[in-house]
Amino acid sequence: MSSSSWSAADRMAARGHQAKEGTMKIFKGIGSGFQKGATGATNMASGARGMTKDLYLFQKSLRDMIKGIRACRDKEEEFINAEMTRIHKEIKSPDPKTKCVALQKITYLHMSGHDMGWCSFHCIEVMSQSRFALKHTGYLAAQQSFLDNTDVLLLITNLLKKDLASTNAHEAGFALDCLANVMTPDLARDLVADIFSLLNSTRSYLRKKATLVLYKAFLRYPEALRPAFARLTERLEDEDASVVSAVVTVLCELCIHNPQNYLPMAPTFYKLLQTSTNNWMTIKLVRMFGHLSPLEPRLGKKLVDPLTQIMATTPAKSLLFECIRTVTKGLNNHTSLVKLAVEKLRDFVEEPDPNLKFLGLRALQDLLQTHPRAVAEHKKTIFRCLQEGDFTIQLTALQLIEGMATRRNLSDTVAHLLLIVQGAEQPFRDHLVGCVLNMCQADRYARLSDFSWYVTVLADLARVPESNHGKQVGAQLIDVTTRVEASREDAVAALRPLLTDPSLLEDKPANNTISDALLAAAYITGEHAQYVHNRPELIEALLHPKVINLPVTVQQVYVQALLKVFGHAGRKMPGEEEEDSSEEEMEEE
Amino acid sequence: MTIRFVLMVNKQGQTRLAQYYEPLPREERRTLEGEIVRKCLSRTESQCSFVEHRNIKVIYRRYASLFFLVGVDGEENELSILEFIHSIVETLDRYFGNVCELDIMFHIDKAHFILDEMVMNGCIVETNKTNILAPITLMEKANV
Repeated sequence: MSSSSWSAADRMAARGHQAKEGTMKIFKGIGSGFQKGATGATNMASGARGMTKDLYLFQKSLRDMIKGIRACRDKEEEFINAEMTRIHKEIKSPDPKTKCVALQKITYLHMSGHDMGWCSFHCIEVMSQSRFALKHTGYLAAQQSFLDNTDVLLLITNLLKKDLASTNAHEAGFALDCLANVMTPDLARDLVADIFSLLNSTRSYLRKKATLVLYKAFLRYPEALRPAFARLTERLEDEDASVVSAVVTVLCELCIHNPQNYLPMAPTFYKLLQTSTNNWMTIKLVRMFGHLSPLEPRLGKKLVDPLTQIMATTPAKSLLFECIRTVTKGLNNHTSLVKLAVEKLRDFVEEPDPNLKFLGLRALQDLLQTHPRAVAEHKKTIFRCLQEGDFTIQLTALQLIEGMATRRNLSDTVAHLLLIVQGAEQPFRDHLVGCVLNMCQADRYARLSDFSWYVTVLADLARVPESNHGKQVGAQLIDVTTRVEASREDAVAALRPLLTDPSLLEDKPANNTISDALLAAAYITGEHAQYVHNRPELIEALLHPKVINLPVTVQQVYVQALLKVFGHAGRKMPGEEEEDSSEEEMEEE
Repeated sequence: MTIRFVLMVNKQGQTRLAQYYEPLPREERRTLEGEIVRKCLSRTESQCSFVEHRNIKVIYRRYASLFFLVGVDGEENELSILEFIHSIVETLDRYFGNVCELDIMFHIDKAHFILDEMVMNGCIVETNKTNILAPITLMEKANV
């Protein structure tokens, strides 16, 4: 992997030290080489070619190991286990290069899920090498595997201190990278001063990295923030754009957690916003303003101009989206901005690109609370999204529609949704049904004006195959018919097809929760049996042999309903002849 | 508002590069990777590139045989992350010349190095390709 060029002198020295051991290992190497066949051949060849690879003359490089893993398709586990044992031995070798290659291999295996915690001490050994390539391997391994509770972390404080102060910018850079990942509160406390001094380094490369690592230090060791803050903000004047960008990033993060403290800096940010040429930085600044402006109304007014300009001119969709999001979240009392934002959002939702559609819908959802009318203008587009191919888009559109439901548009919306339910697939179908139920039930049915219509809707919903909402439908049916007297007759009529359809009694997945709805239907029909027109048919239905398939609780209700309907047999139906009909019924029973 | 992890996974679900910006134990990493990759692999081209897994948003894009996945916190701008993924790929391409999955596999330390130049501590640091590749080219020239 990293081609190393050992000088001949080094090689001789190494060989001289451990000649005897070396010979033994060479033989072992040859042995395993022959065993492995094809990979052995590669091994020996690379061993010969890379005589620069030291003691374990046939130590597999990372490249060889990867090739080996790829070659043995079925026996991967065995191969990897064999490799692990070998690595265990290699890594204890005193030779740094061997250690380094072993560490590379174990880092690779770690990525595939094997444990690496046992070699943390060896990581540190490699990290303390002065050779750049070796050091990098060590740092990388540390970055990947060190967790907060790795016990050897205490040992690296001094090492990091030394590297941070190193004259070689790249070494310091590594140390910073590694620190970013493994920073513990102790490390933060000990090293914050060193990182801090790097903020004034002559290399912008280091200044940039130091800024971000400082943020991690703040997270882990909050006391460090106050003294470092002044110097950090000084860096906003830095001549290197990426350093400024880094500082802005850090400030943005801090600001989100604690906007009040950063309000005084708003003028500086404003100036930066107007002069910024880097889209990434502009995005961060816009976001910051989104968090700051709710706290300071005058800020909002000042922002209208620059934001309008950005939204109108920028070709970058991400920046545009960020501006829109800021407007919806923080600046939604500025009508001109909101209007512009809604226009742009409409463009987003009409785009064929599913990503933009999805984001547009989400942003509209945010706007729903404060500007429902603006959102309602785009109802048609939103309804069209219900039939997109992407489930996430459909779901978001549905949530929007649920939020937009009012008294006036409820029946149209429900009708529309019911149409779609026929063609929809699970699990979206369930969501549709749930949405209708929730919309209508909201605020104790405040939005409904025509309950007779609603019970027919409920009856239709009960018949939706594979629905999970049977219980809710049933509960609502009982609820409505109990409270609203006028709906009872229509309910009985609407529910008759439910009870008389024998296919609903079968035990199949399409009839998932329908038994709960049938329970409600039977109960209602029984309670209000005076509205039943065709008693014989209903009694036949309630006595259908397949009723046994239903749960016991439902069957109980069926029996009771049966009795109630039969009990009404002698009663007069509104506008019907009494004597003949009742005698006929008695005979049939 | 930061990046939680960057993953490069191939179509068979094997992780080619994994960089986590928050401490996560090994077993959890595996389960996380497995679940997310399965979700992404089952999506088609016409669906959007954003997946929600527990409380992490994952933004992904497929380039040839490799999926690039970036997991972020709730507030991050998804479009900018998509652009960021694209700039990672472009940078890798500039460095390796017609980059492919094998390049990343066999030169994983260089890939890590480049990624570390671009993202630090979960924040995007640098997107200018020349700036990113400068240290690594210097390192190779010096080739200690």
